[in-house]
Amino acid sequence: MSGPDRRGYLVAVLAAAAFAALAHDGRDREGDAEELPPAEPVRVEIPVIGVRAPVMPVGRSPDGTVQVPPLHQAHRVGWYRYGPAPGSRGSAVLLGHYDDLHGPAVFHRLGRVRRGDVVRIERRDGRTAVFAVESVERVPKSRFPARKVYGPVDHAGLRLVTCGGSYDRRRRTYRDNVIVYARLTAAR
Amino acid sequence: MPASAPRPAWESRRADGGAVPAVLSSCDLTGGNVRVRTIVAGTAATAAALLAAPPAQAERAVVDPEPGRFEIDPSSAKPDETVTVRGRCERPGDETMRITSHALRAEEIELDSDGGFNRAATVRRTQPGRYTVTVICQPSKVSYTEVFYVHRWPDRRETVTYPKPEAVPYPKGAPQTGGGGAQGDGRDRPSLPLLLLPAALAGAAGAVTLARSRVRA
Repeated sequence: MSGPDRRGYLVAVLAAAAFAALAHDGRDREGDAEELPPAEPVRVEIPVIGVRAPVMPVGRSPDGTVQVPPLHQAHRVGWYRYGPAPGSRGSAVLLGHYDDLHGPAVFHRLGRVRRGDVVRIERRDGRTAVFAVESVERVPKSRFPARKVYGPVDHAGLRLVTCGGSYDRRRRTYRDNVIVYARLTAAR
Repeated sequence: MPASAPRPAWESRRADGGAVPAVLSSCDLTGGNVRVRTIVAGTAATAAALLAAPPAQAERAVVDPEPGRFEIDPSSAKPDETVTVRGRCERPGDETMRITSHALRAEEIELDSDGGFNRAATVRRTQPGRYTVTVICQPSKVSYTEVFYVHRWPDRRETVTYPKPEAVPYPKGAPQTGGGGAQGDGRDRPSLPLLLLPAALAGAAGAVTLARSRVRA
């Protein structure tokens, strides 16, 4: 093979490799499933940390803060009912306790979830929305990213929220929140 | 009143720097200009109050109802759609609630610690019209009734069941999902070695003192 032919061959190989890489990237981005119509979530499953818990709707307290499941039902997860349903376009928010007065609660191990882990939400319409974790972060409660958690997104997103960090005994609260961001990848 | 003194809320500032009461008092009847200004000030205050009212009502619209009352959101829907029934049983000792209605179907649920409930219910496949929905608190059997409207089905012109997310402001602050701190009590306490350090130092000092006394003996 002569010099110019070899260069042409290399250029073709590199172009093919670049195209393959772009095509692969495109498939990743096309991994979102078709969004689902609104329906109340009834159960959440996070297999990697052994969570399988019932979901109850929660709203807002008179002081404007989001409600959470009552402490005597710390095994339940709350769905913020003024936001989208899991599987519908937007940021669906689920809240679970880190612990109660006696020990670990439903989202105690949420901080161990990692990118790529699966979260399944069973809905009242019989459909199951499957999400893949995109990121996990721990933020001080004083800088809770409300817009990032509750704000609009261009896909069917899911946010799982619990407490984390050290415990402030004077204020009787944990200092941080653990937030898991996920997006819909399949619907059954 | 000195210009620097703090003014009560019911006073508004006059053009010349003086204070004009927003409320018409007997001394205002002596001068026409003062009366006009007073009426204008009162009207302005009323308008400001009216303008300020809608956001406050919008905020209250998403706050859960008081004990003994409940609401259905939305108050009308089509068959097979889901609505939320939420409120509070006011009798102490109530543990569960159930819904009886020809329009809505829902399972019996446990109340939260405050007697509150927040329950999704499905609209039955029934004729369109006005229906009553009764919530019965158990075991007191105290009941509350609201009105619910079933729309014709299917009807594409009806409104959607769920509120648009952007229609409701984000909740304030951070979620208080920390529970009782059962897993965090020890985190702010000094660690065990630090707690034992004074005892260890005292013991060491005692041992040294004892050794010295034995050497002298």
